[in-house]
Amino acid sequence: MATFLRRTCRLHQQMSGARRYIQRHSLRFVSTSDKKESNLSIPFTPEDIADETKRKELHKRLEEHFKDEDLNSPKNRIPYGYEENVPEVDKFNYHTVWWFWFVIPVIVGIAIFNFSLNDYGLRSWSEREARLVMEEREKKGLPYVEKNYIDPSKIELPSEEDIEAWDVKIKI
Amino acid sequence: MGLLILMALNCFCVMFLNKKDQTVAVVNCFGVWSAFSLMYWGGSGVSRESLSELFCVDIYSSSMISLSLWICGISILVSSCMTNLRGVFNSYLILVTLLCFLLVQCFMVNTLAMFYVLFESTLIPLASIIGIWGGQIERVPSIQYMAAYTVGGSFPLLLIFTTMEVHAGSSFMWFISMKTTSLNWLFWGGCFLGFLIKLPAFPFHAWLPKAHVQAPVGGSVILAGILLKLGGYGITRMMMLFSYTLESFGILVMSFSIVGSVYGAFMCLRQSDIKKLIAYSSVSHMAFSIMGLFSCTEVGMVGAYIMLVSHGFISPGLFVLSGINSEMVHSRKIKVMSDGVRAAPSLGFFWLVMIMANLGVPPCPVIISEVLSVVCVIALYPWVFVLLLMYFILSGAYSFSLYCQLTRTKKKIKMKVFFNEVTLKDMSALYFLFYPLAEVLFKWDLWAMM
Repeated sequence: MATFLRRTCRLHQQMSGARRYIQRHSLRFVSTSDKKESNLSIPFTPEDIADETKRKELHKRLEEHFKDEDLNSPKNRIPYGYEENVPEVDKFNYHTVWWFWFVIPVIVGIAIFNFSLNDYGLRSWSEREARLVMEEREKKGLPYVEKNYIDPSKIELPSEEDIEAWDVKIKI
Repeated sequence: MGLLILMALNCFCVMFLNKKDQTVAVVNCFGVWSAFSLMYWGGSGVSRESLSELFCVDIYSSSMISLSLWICGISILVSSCMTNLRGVFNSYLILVTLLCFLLVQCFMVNTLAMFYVLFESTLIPLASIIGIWGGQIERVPSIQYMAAYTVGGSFPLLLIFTTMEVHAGSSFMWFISMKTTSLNWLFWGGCFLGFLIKLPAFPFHAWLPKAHVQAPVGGSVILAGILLKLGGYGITRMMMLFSYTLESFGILVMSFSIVGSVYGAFMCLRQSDIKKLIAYSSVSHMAFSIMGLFSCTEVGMVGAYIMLVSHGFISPGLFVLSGINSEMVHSRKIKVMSDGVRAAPSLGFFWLVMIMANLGVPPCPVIISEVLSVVCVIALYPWVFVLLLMYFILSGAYSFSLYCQLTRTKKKIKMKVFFNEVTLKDMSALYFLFYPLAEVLFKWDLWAMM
């Protein structure tokens, strides 16, 4: 029995490890990126960056490889991402996207929000108007708001028969 | 109407351009349309510039219109990795433009019948996008789930709209006003079920993680950024018909939402797939907007719309980042994606900013929305604070866990990652999704009713 349990546990551990391995490697999908691996001269792995000694070695390799490189040559160009083959089109597209997605919306947005949406809902106006009305009523010696602001004779209340059928809820 | 004419004219002009130039031209057109749509934000009440026989726009509509145009443009900008997949990329441009056209009309239209038709028709382009450019074979059942939930949930709504039109003699939504005294729960359920499924509300959220996982990057951006907000907008219009008096039905929905927010945050904590995590995070955030909407208060409406608009920028940003990162390492597993972050440390910074914005760290407007929604709910039942406290703890936990897994995981898998795979175009898209939050922050009280 003990041997059976021991073997089952070991098998379970192996299965869990295998399952974790499968899970880790099963969620890959085909890359839809156009980029080719051969474009980069010195491929590296993340451990080359994480480890300090390996990072220094990589730095030396890169310096050695690129010591005679002309930084402005076309093959060293870092593309903006719009067009890989034609640098002028790439740069033009980059600038147009920023123009239409940042410059114009910010200018139009600031203009609208400061002029058209200024005092949205007449809030500032209502506060100014309230203060003016309050001053005027103070000078006349009247209260700020009269008890009968609406003329009671103009209010039509429902009759008792109408209210009977309704479910009236009063929330305090 | 002027916006739709401008969209049609621009699309006609773009047709004559070179195939290669059409992508950037369409992206720029979306930027122009978004700037044009800001004209509809003028003044309180209904916008004068938008008035016509078919369309009528107020602040709720105009904010959704601007968001639609912005998000659809971003989805095309970030979809460059789909150029070599099955189908022709130009057909993606056509589908997204068509979807945006339908969305803008859906938010502008002033009759219930047209609103319903446009609400349902947005499903077709999205299902096509997922079906053609989705990642795996499971995209077919995900489309089935999405279609079944959406169409099944909104069929009662069709019956109710038909009844309202017969009863009122018109489907002009600004004139219809229904009395709520003799309505039963079946009727309330029929009115709001379709929109609650769209949002998605707990427990009708099952379709969203499936759809998000199978959708391409651009599809996820549109789904999270604007299509979920259709539900919130629909609820606003339905409540306008009932003069914002929902009483006990509103309390029931709020109760489910509170549980849903905790459930969504808990599910995020145990996810290893980044897209599923962001999908469940959407479920918990939308719960706050449901709480705000169904509280039938001005404070709640403001909180709900701040959440809808902010989430419309932040969630697509998270999906864009996950698309960039998963494209580098060819996996959606969070621990595997940490290799990509290690190779391109700028991604770590972007992840931090977006995770903090998603969490609601000030000055992101999400915190304003959460505070306002919490105020509405606690005003009704103070003991609900216990559940909301659980939500805040869990949301902090999953955000912190996500960031740690992305940036602090010990290397386990040897993988080759090329640092030039993170292009400036993708970084620009992230920036375009982040800076409009400043506008939401400065004008957060725009959605208060007068």
